[in-house]
Amino acid sequence: MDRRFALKNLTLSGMGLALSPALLSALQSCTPGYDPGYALQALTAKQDQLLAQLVELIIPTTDTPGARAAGVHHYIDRVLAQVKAPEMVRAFCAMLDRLQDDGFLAQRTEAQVETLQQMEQATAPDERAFFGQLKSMTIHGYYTSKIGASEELKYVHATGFYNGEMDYSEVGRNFY
Amino acid sequence: MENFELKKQAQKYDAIVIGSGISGGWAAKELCEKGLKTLVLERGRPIEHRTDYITEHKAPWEFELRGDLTREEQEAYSQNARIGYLDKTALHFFAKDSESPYVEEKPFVWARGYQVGGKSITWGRYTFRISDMDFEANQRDGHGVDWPIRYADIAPWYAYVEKFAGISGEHLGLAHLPDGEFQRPMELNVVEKHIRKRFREEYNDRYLTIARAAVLTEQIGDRVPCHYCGPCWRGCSTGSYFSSVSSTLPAAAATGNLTLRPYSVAQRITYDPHSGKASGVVVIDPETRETMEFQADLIFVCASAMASTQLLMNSKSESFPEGIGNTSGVLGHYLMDHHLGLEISATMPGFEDKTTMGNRPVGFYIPRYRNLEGQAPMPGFLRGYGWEGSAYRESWGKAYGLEGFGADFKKEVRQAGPWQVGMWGFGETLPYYDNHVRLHETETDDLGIPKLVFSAEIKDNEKAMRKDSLATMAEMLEKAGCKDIAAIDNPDGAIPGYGIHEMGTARMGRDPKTSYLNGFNQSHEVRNLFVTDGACMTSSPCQNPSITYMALTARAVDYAIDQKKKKNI
Repeated sequence: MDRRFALKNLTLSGMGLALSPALLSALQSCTPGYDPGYALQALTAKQDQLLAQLVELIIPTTDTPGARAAGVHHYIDRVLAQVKAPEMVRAFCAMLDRLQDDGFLAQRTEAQVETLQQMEQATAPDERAFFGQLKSMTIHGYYTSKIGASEELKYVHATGFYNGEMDYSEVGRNFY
Repeated sequence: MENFELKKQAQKYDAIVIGSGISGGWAAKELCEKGLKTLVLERGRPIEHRTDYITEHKAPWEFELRGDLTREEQEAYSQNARIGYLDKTALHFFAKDSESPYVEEKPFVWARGYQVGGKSITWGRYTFRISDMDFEANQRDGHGVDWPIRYADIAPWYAYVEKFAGISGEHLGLAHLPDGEFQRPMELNVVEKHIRKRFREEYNDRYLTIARAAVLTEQIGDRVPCHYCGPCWRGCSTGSYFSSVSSTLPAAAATGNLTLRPYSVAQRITYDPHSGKASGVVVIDPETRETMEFQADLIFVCASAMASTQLLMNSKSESFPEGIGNTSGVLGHYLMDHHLGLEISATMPGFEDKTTMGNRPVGFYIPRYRNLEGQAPMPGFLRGYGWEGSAYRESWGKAYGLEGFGADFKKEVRQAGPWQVGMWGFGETLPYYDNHVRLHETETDDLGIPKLVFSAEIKDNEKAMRKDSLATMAEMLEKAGCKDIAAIDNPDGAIPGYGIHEMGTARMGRDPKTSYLNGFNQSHEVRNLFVTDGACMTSSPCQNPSITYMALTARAVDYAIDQKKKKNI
């Protein structure tokens, strides 16, 4: 194993063990968001703040940083502004507003998790669609981010060789 | 053309090559190295080796949208986007449908690369020779006309181009997939080796080998072995895979005989009825709309199969009202592509203490195993198919199919899933007269060139082949020990053009009444006119075709120069 890689992991897991995910999450919400200079393209500041919490619930900070630190909410903002069909964007933002109106951010983390779980299992098509879109955009945004690809997973670039039967224990996690 | 002032260029060239992709690059190299002053016309922009590979080695997070296309890009590439893997990492090497319109009378994906190097920058790099089984197929079963050549005619030229291009691969000793001049093969991984072993135990006619590919494992000149970064199609600064830009065009330029002219759309080839020869090429600069004519003794048409035929059809004269050299009327017919869309995914239990490291740029190949010499013919279909694929540990993609979210979810996604095998089949398509392209009667592109109309589809033979292909491969994987085998016939993949192996429409043959080219890729009717890209194909053996175009091109140049010396051209 790459020695630098081993050392970096040790530091991060050392931090992660000391703080529970919920506590870390709470701490994060007090700190300014990732990339404070980011100019929103599709979302309002309120929608952005809510989305930052939603993506963090999907992929939270553990022994590695979570989706908020990886800037996934801003990735989603760009995708909504530039990639997705306008109808989907309207529906997605409407659901963010509804959660906002329901006082989602004021809830305790456990209650927020419960709300999302209900959405995942919901029979109402708009809630299920929203959750599906939120989850898949978060997955894509997180695991293709620098944090997701190179801290949570192992990112190798040009190895100069191919090893077709490497011991999994040498890496112990997925390659990007 | 009344609107344009036609300027005849003062300098006459020995040869003009239309197109700078795989075939055009080879034509340029061979012509220049044999001392001919050669003009290469490329409709697209210039590409500088290394500096213009603008996305090479970029990490995913360096793309603002992580590779997604914007709404505007989706619209501009709406026909091509259907191939499913067009993303921002290589979009700049694909032509916009909105600026290069074509008409789908029947669905067709026409992927084009309008730049120096053409599609040789983004190609799949798999290189398999075709054999006498393929060259004799039309004659044997009566579909299409007989190829005017046999394997012995092309074998030395395969060897010649393979040594220069650099092909890594394994010798198998199969008559129907002839060995070549190979560099050291890339490595199969532990699960691929297991499947290979199981096939050997279960079958005497089925093989799994690492794909033969134009990716170096040994140095050639300043092109160094592959560094396993993965996405070749973004361009390769180390020249580790073959492209016109890394390989043939530099060799052509080194002779001092090459003039490369980007932004030069060939509008038509002119014909001189007195000499009976093509006299030159009328070119439009798409930026300035300026029109000019270049003249030469030899014309090599290498514009990519469909564009070459479009140009030949648009080269009308009193002598050839249906397009230059097309008295037979065969031009445009017998369009073929490999039919894709046969997709298999499966799980291989075990081997969970192993993974792979490095981004290997090639997968494995399972050569054709149906309708071979000495086998009983299949009752339902003629010809055959091959399979490509790879085995890999399931990575973070599993997150999409996993229920739930949160810390446990994240923990689960971090760990590698089981070994998976992903495969896709390539089937041969028979040559059918009614599968064709033609010029649109009224609609033109921005430059006034008639749009190409596509009308092609797979038929009963291909449909029966697909059933057998899926069923046998699923059975083979089961015997190899795979579980959860999902075998899907995705009809979209059978739409012509999806294979980006479109070929035929100016086929080779013995009889000028039923073919456009002779056995040296020379027009039957216009003896200084050669077509050496995929348009020349008489049948569509299931192997990836580019290495055959390279060999045919080098052979055709050799012949043309010999004929010129003998004053026959």
